[in-house]
Amino acid sequence: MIARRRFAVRSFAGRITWLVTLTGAFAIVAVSLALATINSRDLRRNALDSLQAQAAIVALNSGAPLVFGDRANATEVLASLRAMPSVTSATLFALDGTAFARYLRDPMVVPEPLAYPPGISVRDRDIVSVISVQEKGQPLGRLQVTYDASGLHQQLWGSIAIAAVVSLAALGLMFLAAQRATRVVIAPLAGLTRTAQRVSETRDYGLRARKFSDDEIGAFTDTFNEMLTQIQQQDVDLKASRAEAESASRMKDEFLATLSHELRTPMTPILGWAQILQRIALGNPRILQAADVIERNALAQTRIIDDLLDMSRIMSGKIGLEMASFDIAATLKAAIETVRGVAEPPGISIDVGIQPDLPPLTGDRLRIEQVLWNLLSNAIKFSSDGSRIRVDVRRDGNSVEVAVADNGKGIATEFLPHVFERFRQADSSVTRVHGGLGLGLAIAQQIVELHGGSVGVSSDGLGQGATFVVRLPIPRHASAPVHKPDAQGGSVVRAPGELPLAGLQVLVVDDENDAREWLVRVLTDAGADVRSARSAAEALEVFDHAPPDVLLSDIGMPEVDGYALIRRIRALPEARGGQTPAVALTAFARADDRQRALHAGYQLHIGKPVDEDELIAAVASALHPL
Amino acid sequence: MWPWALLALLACLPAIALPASPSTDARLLQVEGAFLVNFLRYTDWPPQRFAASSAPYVVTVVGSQDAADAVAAVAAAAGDIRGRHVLVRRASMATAADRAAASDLLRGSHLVFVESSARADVDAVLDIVRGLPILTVADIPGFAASGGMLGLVQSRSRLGFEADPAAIHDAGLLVSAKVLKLATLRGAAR
Repeated sequence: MIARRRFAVRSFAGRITWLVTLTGAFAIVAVSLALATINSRDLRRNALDSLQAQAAIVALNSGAPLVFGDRANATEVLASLRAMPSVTSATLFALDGTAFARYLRDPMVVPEPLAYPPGISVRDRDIVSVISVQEKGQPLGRLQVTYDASGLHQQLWGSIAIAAVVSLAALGLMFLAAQRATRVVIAPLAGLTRTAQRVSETRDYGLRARKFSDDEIGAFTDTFNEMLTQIQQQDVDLKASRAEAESASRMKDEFLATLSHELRTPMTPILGWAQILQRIALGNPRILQAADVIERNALAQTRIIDDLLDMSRIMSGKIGLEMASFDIAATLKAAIETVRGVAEPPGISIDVGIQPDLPPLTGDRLRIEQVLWNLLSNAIKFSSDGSRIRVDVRRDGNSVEVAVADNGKGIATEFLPHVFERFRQADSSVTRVHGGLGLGLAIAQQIVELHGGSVGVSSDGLGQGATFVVRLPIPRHASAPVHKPDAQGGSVVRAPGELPLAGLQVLVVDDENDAREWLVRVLTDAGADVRSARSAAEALEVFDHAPPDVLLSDIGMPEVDGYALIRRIRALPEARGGQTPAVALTAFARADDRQRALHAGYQLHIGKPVDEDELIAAVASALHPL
Repeated sequence: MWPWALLALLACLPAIALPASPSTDARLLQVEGAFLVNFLRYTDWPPQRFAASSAPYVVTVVGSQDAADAVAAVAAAAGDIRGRHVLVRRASMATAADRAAASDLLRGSHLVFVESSARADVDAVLDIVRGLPILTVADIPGFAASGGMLGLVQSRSRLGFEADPAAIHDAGLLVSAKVLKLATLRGAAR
């Protein structure tokens, strides 16, 4: 395994090189082995043939000396074997096996007896050839020649060594050649890989791989480039459609903001004048009733607009929650107050049970208040005269539970699962009776879930009443109860006869005549010395003559808007009103609108529609910041 | 050297029956017989000198009966040579009648051996076979130099031989060069 890992070849080129080299090595070794075998066989055969031939000649010439007993001559004949250096000894034997004559290359060697059968025998390093000495077919004796094969072996090993060296050299050359050739073959692939990597890293689909050849890799390169072209096209399309979608979304947001502004703007004078009507009715019951009807319907209208906008923001995920620590008990009380103040019908009582020492929660206080207000107004809406609504707040484990129970109309069991769905109402005919878009509960659920909580509903059926339960998580670090700041409502308590803005010079800037007149009226009633301007240009003229004590300006105005106006004022020297406290008044009621207003230079921001008390308090607090 | 060489020579004749205690002369005759057999072995005659393919070599010994017997014994022991057995006869040149009879015997031979005891008859024998393809051998010194073909000589205590290649050639015989190589070459002063 270790060896395997150590010799693991990572690159494709390396693998091809090794493949070629190994194949070549196999071929070279196989050919070398075959040649060595053939060579060895030939060498041996040649050596033996030569030995046999020489021995045969000697045998032929030694017959006569043997039969005529001419030992000197026989020895001379045998000595002719000296020409073959590998022959170590030769002995001429008579038929009965006695040695007649000998030749010894090395005289110190002990001569051997006739010990081998006719033919070739191999012993250790020696090859012994025994030949019959005969004349005309008649045996006369035997010749035994001993041949030292070590020379032959040396020759064989020598040739094998040369073959090995040549093979190794060939292998080395082949390896180098394979490496070089592989590099040439691999180059297009490597180029492709580099291009693919660069495309992956830079996302630049305009890159193209270079084509080296017209082979398979070339075709692959073409395909790769075509794919890049397609991806590039898709990328362009995708970017275009994303830009389009973003632009559409932005246009929708802008449209919503405009819609909000346009729908809310008329509400301010309607509500304002209704309040003034109430104040000046002086006991005329018909005017009072008319003003009440106008106010109630204007509020309902405002609510519907708010719901629509909230839903739209929630759907697009653009709802901004201003998370802060808040006291749920105080929030609930505020919601109840609102419900009572706005729409408490006669004969319906609200019982509240709040567990003491509740921990503070984290969330957008106003939004939670909106949720609770929604549940309460639902309960009231579906309750008949004389019924009771029970609200309980208590801690339940790691969350705080707010239960709103009524004994009113109740909810049919089959409708229970759909209560929180958008635009769903139990009965479309009921819609006519109870009004509303059916968005309230859906918005409540969304807001609670954005806080990490949940909303539930239970009902025993029609006519049995219903209970809505909101659960909000308790943040981990908060366990101690908050100490309620007492009576910190922010609203200025207006004692009768006292004018809160007495002697204050206020400049009101608004392009809407109705709205401007209502503002002037309210502030004048509060004792202020009010001047008004219909545009930013008029406002700046006022500043040229005599800067006011407080500026109250609308934001959405033609030509120069409220943001630009305050920036120009802030650019003025202090003596000419550059530091005049300013309040922005706008129908752009979103959190980021407020941020933008404060950033531009306003001290305060009030969303439309606004009621008199709030307006007066805002102008007062702008002059005397807390 | 002598016993050794003799031993080697006799070894070439596998089944020779040696006398229990042969005298020096008898042993010499045996060796001379072996030489004669070997001469047959290394000599080619014209084919027409044989009546049939299995016709025997005819060896005629001119000399003592002992010599003829010794040669016959060696020849019998040697067995067939190139498919022919060896027929050994004795010819006497003692009387004129003998000579007349010997003349046919000699002319019908392949090899004539003049033993040293018949030294006096050498020239007569040579005259009879002159011109014929008959190998003439004698153990008489100077034989090869005086018209004979092969002369057996004792030199340095071993038996060797002299040869007159011209005489052999003139007679239409072919004695193997291997044999002539072993011989001391002589030539008749002609």
